[in-house]
Amino acid sequence: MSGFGGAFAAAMVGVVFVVAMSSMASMTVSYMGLYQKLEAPTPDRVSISIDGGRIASGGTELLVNMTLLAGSDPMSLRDLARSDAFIVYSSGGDRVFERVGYGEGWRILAVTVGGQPELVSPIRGSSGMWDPGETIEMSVSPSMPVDAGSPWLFKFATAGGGVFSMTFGG
Amino acid sequence: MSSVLTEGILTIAVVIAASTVAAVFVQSSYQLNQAQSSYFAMASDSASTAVRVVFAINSSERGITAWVKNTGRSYFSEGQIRQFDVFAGPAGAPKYIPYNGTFSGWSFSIASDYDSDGNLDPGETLQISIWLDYSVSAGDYVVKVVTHNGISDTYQLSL
Repeated sequence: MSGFGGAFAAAMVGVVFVVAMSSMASMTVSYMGLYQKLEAPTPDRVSISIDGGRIASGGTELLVNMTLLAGSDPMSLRDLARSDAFIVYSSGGDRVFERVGYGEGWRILAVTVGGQPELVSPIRGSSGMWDPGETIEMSVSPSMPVDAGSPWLFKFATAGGGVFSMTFGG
Repeated sequence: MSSVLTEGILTIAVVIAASTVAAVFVQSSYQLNQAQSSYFAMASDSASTAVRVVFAINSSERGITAWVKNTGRSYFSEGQIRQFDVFAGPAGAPKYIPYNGTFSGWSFSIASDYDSDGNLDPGETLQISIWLDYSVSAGDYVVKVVTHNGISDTYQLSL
């Protein structure tokens, strides 16, 4: 089986080999794409210290300071706005709990570093980042006046599911 | 003359064999690919799902309110949220709570539907109101939420 027949047979084997390899390559590419989809959502690398809080404006406002700790990922204002604040407090002797959202419920008064205005990616309007080391001074508006001198709980849940809380003594 | 005939027959045989092998291989790899794609699609759905119960509190004598954040990459439609399983009760003996049940049950609202599309998108928060068929008293309680595709999170609270 020499000559043209041999060459033709070899060519056919080559064709089969090429078809097999291309099928394998296409499957590999397909699996790589699917494996990427299989990656589970990565949890927030966010650690927050709630530095302090106090009742202000005759109980109609709660002022809270929070610092994003070193090692955390910077948080965009968009993600910050998707965070929830929860407060539990006494009003007229009754316990009140509520979730307050960004905007109508809690807002950022200032972002500082060691008492000075933040240095990088400042939060202005609808843009900016909360960077590690920066402290957010926030105002929380409870729906009922908070009893002066009574303890109250502040809990902050980030968009990625990080939860940080602190109870203050009034 | 006979060697030419033999060569021709052998060549045709090789062509047929090669074509058969190629056809079988391509068909098998296609079927394998389809099966794997289906499997990966289901696994991907679960892998991109994550929830976190960020807070729960006794809202009344017989009620618990819980807030659940969508911390995954995919959204939940209202129909999928209704398929969630909710368990609540004393730690160690939580009971299955039916959706909109008569004596005990749960209902939900999306507390932060930022784009007003009626879905629980990533980063949005679901508020679940649970009513029980008994009065809660001092002790440890748990609330467990299981999504329609089996992803769950548990929150412990004390009264």
